[in-house]
Amino acid sequence: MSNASKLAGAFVGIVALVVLVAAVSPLLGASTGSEARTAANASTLDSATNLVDVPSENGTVTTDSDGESKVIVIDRAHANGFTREELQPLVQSLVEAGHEVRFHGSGSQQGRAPELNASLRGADAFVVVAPRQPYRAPEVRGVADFADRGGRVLLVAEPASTQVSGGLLGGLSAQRVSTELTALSSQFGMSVGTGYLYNMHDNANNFQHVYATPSGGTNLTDGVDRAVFQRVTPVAANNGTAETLLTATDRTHLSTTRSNEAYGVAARNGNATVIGDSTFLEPSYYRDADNEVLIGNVIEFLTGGDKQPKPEPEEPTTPNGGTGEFTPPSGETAP
Amino acid sequence: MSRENETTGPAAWQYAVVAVVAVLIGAVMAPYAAGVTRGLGQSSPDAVAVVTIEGPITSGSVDRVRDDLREARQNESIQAVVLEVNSPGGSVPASESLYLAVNRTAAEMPVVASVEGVGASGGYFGMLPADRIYVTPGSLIGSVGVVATAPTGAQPPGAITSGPDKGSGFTREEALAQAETLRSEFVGTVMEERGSELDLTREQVSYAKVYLGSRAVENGIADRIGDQDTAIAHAASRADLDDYAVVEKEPPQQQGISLLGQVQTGDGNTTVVVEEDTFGYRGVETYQYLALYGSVEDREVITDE
Repeated sequence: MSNASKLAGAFVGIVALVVLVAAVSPLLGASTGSEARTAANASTLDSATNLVDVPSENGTVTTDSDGESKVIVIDRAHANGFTREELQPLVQSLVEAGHEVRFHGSGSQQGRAPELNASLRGADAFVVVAPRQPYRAPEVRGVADFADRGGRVLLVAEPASTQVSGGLLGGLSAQRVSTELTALSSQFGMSVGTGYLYNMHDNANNFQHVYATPSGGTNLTDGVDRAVFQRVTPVAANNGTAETLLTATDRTHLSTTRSNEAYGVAARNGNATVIGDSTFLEPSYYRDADNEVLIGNVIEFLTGGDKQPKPEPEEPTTPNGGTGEFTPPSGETAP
Repeated sequence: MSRENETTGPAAWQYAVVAVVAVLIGAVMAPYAAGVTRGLGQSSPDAVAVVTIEGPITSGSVDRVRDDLREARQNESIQAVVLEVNSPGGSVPASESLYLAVNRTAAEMPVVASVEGVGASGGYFGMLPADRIYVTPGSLIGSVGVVATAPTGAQPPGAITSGPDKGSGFTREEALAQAETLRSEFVGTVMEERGSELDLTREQVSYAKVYLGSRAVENGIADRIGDQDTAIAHAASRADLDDYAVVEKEPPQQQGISLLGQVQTGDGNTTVVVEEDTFGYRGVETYQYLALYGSVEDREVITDE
């Protein structure tokens, strides 16, 4: 046989082999249709077992108004962590009950806020929600004096949180922000925490959405069987004059210590009330559980005071009045 | 002399060309030939297949794993499967698909998992049907929970939507209920699959902790300390194989450019960086439920933390 014939034979053999392989290879995968496509046992994924519903929302905020219109001032001058939308249910219910709502400060960091004590002068109640700037000593004294004269004070805290700002070209920066309420709340024998409460056992669809029940019978908890707070920090009533109003349910833990205790989430001392969460006031949550009843009670608390006007100073020449409403020129010590 | 050169020289050259062509074609044919050999089944040795689950779990990566597992079930020579897992998890639907594919395989043959690195969240979900989970002491395993992320972008100005939920798909409270549903499903699956091996309550599992391998063996999240070879040996033992081959399936290719990378931070933590819409649909932002261990950047996480 010539070399050409041998080469031709080799080529033909190779080509035949390639064709054979090409013909056979599709058959290798052709039997994959129904084989091995069997139903899997997926009982643990059964929707009937796992499907969770949205908590029911019903009821409206109702108040027993005696017809007297009160003035409620809401602080916006201390980098308060809320938007107008988030307080809308509270504001709307106050207005519907015939009361006047004012805001102290513009909410802008740049704008210079008016003197707080001047805003309080014509107010019957003062609401502070999640301030992120501390109150100056004259302001603290002014709020304490306001409560002493019958004005109602509502302090609403929030747990510390991480705020992320920036993005894209500027890069992201994270900042830890916490409520600066200690100076005010401690005036009334109450304090707020920084961590959040969670309950892994019984919650409203998230471990941070904890339930709280009344600790005792008070006007603020009338009709409240169970309230739900979406992100709440503990409130401690730390002397004999203050009283815990609502306590988180059993097996609630604190994020910072992970310890399980009976955590108060709302407390009252006379004309001042502290609540450890503002989200229960928001449109999304204000009708969860008995939150709408609690909000109605809060409104009655705010409008139920009897504030007396500040007495005029008898001796206008006394320089050390100390209420903060009048600050004498500084720089020289008295002889 | 010159006549001999004329008759032998060109033939040798041609033979060389034929040989090269034959080798090339042989190389092309080799995988097919191997496939044919494997397909013959009864004449080939019994084997343990090693299926790799590497990196983020997406619909694309699960497709490849599912194909590997289906092939393992079809191939009569493969008697057992070892899952080689190194994944921080991924999207919930893809993790569920992975779980179902592994579950289907485990119903037919022994399946043993081996974690060397990270076997967390969706990666852990996927290996739950395994008969035994081997881990190395320093591996990270667990994270039984979900993260819901919301799109950062709003509807463009002037966009008209036909209903209040057309933009996001559902309200925030509904999103919370959905996340809770998926958490319940994941935790329930862990409790069911791990059964009496687990020394944790449902509540403890729901914390979504990630455990070191040595701790996971103690609390029942995993079964034994061991590497991949240990897992292969156990799988062969479960299949009553004394003499067996090991068939390594190719790991799934990462999708195109690195859409998702793991960044080792200075404190030793692993941060998962989502540079693009890895688990969703590129160019379309939607809510996403992730069975993922790691922080998700550039998207709002709705757990409020």
